[in-house]
Amino acid sequence: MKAHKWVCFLVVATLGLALIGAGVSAQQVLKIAVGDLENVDPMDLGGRNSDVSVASLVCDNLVFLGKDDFLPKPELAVSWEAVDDYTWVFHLREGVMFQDGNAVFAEGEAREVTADDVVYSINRAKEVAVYLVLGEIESATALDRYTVEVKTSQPAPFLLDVHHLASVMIIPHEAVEVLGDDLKTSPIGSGPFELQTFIPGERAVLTANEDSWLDPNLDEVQFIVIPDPAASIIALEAGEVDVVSYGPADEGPRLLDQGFSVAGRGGSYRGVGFNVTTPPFDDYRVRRAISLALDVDSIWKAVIPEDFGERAYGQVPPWVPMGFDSEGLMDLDGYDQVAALDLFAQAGWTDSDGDGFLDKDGEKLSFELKCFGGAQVRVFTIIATVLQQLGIDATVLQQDVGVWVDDLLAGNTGMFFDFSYAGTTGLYSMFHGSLITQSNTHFYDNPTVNALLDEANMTVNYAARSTLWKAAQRLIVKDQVIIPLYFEVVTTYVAPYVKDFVSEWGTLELVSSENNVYIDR
Amino acid sequence: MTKRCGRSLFGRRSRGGGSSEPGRRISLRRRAIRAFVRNRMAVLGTTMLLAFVVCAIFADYIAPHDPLEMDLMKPFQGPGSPGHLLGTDNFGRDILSRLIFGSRISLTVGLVVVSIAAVLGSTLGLLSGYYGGAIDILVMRLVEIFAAFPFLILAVAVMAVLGPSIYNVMLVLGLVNWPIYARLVRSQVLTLRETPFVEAAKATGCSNRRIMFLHILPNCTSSLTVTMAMSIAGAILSTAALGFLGLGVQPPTPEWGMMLNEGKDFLRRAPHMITYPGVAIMLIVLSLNFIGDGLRDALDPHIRS
Amino acid sequence: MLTYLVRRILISIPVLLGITFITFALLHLTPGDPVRIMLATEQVTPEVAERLTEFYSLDKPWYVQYGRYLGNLMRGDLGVSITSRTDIAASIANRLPNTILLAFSSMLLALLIALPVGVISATHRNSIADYASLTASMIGVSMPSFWLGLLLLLQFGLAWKVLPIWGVGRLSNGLWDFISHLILPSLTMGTGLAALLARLTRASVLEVLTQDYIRTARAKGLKERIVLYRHALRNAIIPVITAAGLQLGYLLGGAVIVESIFSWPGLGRLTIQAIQKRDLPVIQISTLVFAIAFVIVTLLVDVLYTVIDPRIRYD
Repeated sequence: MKAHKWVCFLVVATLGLALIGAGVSAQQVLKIAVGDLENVDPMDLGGRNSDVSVASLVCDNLVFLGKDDFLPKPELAVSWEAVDDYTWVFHLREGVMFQDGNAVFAEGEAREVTADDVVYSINRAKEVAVYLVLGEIESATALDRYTVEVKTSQPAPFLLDVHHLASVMIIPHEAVEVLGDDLKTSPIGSGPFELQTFIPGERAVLTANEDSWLDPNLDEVQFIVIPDPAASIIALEAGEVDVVSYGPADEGPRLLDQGFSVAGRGGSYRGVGFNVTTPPFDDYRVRRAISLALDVDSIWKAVIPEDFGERAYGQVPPWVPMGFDSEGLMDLDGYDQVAALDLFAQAGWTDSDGDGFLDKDGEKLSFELKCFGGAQVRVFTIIATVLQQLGIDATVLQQDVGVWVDDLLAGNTGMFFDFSYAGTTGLYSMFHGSLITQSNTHFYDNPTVNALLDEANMTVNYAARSTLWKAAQRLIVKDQVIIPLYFEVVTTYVAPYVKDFVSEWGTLELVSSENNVYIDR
Repeated sequence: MTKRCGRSLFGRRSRGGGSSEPGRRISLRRRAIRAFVRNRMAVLGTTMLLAFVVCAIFADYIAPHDPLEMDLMKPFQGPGSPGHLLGTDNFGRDILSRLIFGSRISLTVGLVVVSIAAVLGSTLGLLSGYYGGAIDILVMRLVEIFAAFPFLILAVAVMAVLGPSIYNVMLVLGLVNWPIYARLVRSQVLTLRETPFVEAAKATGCSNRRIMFLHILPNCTSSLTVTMAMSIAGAILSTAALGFLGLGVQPPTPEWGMMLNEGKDFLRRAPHMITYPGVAIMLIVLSLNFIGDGLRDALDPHIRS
Repeated sequence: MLTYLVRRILISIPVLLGITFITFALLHLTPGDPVRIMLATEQVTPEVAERLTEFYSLDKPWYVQYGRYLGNLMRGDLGVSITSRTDIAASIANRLPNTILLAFSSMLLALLIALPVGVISATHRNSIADYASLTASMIGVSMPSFWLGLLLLLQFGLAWKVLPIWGVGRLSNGLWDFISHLILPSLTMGTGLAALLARLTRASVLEVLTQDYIRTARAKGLKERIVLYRHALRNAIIPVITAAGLQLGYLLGGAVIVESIFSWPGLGRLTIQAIQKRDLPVIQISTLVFAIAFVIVTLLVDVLYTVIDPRIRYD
């Protein structure tokens, strides 16, 4: 009898433990909905966010960007210093092993990550990566097993930033040699997760790397492609996915009410841009008048939910460590339609023929607001309606992306939607005279601004650089090259039972010195 | 001879009797009209269509608000709110007014596109099926090229070169839709070509043209009217699809397809933005179908209620 | 028949070549360049733009590019996507089966609904059944697919949670996995189609029932059911098959919206995105695949005519 009871007890206990074990471990699966998955070759990521996220889980970088201050924090490099303006030295963590049990390293045959691997990766990135700015790096050398020296051609204070060295993922040369083209679907690195399955356009499945120097709480991460934003939110609400990456801002208020949280970091600058060489916008007064005619505070709130944006007075966004300015630029803003009409009159535009529209020399003030979809259309719809009421024949012109880009770069577009370059190189890319026909679609060439931006590029000291940028920015806004509208925060929606989630900024960190995501239902 | 040939063999009534009397021919038309009028659904359909046409023509007087007038303070008002029978959209614009003004564009687009496609397609289909041979091969290859050609590339190319506008949308949609009619008519022609009636018509010396248009084409009417009615909905929805990609009707122009697009982002928050344009499209298609059925029934004397 | 088939296939080759050439030419006339678009959308940096343009021969004259494309095609090299650098043959191989599956399943569903409904509608003209089916058809055809799709998802995926929300099912995971993933997308794509085909069937059957050989058959004393199925339906079905065939051709091009809403990895989305990004290699191959599918379906439909109605002959 007693023995029988003991056996029963043991069986039940074992089953119970097994069930609990299964329950607990099965719970630590994180499912992330993304828009697409294409190619996860760690150096050929082309700025596609979800591919970058997957690759960043598989590989380690030298640093990652802190969740609160966006400044570089140790990852593969435990410490670093700028020896002089042109030289950086990185000290690597010891004992980090590449993943094993795959096509590159058999089980148990993995080797340690060394300075040579870092040098190899940097060189490969310079060759292959089309979306990284690595031209400033002149050379990378391994000083010893755990020390790397990087020399730059000019002072590079942003060396450790998104799209620069911070985005270089460290891989072993064997991966490239053995995998060849398969590197696009089954890369390996030294990161906390190993890629088990990758089907472009469908999904990616990663499992925890038990040998990782970080100890992830999660057992499995799945990336699921759900291209339609509304469908991804339905999946989130149904519990089929736990996180929606870059979800639609419109659903925000409703989801917040239901208990979901928004984990967005960074985002984009949105504003109106002028091509300052195209009439009628070549006249400062016309640009200023248009700016005065718009009540930006009302407009931007009608485009995205208020919680997910912020009024912009300049181009540099709040999450860039330097150059962000709002109080200093507020005086340049204004909403006064009477003053606007006055300025138009000064520029020669009046309603001389009584048809309700402003005209000059017999020609009506008429132009197209060119955009290509999404929030831009909403913004321009509002602006066009307001300007029409004022007496300007402004019409929205939605174009296909290709046509829009072509028109823009060729200088055929007078008034357009500025939607990008919200990173640390924004001011330079958008307004420096040398980049006309490339990224300076404003065709703006102001020698004072150019000089300020050039000097800023050479300044390593954050505070000093910030001052230079603010000065340049103020000139740009004063010249009314742009009408800043708002900063839009990335809306990544997270289910309430997912804890410690930090959305991506450059890389996706599900486990790091600052966080370790886990599921708690 | 000519009189006999001129009488359409539509319906293929074999009870000939009194074929060539002019009096008989006039009363046929009157009979058709009477049959149509007696068909309740046909009348209903015509009334609905007329209502839409009236809306389109007199929009300025019927609509309670300016369709472009925004009220950024009052977005997403539900249906039945004061002053807004069908509610407002995300910019605070009155949906009812936008629907009424939208009927102008949507009706025009739908009717023009389908007319172009139907006329062009049916003609080519007739020629192709009737003459066969080289003409058939050529036309069918053209059908294949146009139908197999990715419509979007054509749309993008046309819009890029000629500029995005509602006229170019109609052009593109017309070019894309004609193969449907060509194939439909051709298949009917192939069947009818061998019937004794056509042979008889040929024997009596009817010209090919007469045979095709007076005898064969009317027999395709039912399939044609059904397809045309459906195509109109299709054309309006295609305009919406093009609008998704930024080609075609420009905001803030009220157009039912564009209203669907704009409402999509707010499906959960403000479903009325999509529902009402959808219902409008449905009613137009319904009315056209009723009219089509009524026409067919009226002209085919076998079917007497 | 055999000579006819061979002739049709041979004639198809110039059609296909014609399509690829026109596609190529149109794309070149259209403003927009894949590298510049990537530049503007921050997928590449200005430093790299030149290098990419040269690598993909985008700066060479169009006839050189076209020649290169044809030459590679002959050798079986389908090329690499400009925007994602992935192998096109692999992409297409992954997606084509999904597109074919969805197209056929939608068409099947549509026909299963449309044919019976259309026949009943025709034989019980002006009855409640007739009007009900008419109204249902109107709803089916006037609803934009994204609306219908999202409503279905909301009901079956979220409210009742009986059907999956995304992806393709695999037979290896079981029959239910396979079918459950197909239901909603096929329903969405098939509804509008069913509406059109049902109305066509009805109209066509009504049309045919007025014909003399039907009166003859009835006069001969044949049962109504035989009259209907053996005689009337045969002819009535021709325009329906025509429409179905044409629509199948379109379906094989991939339904972008349905693919997007149900996360169905098919050719439609691939193609649309490629067009917007001007990813020329992908557009070319995709277009070719679609054209081939279309030509095959057209051919099959024409052959089907002769089977259904032996009177139809091709000189």
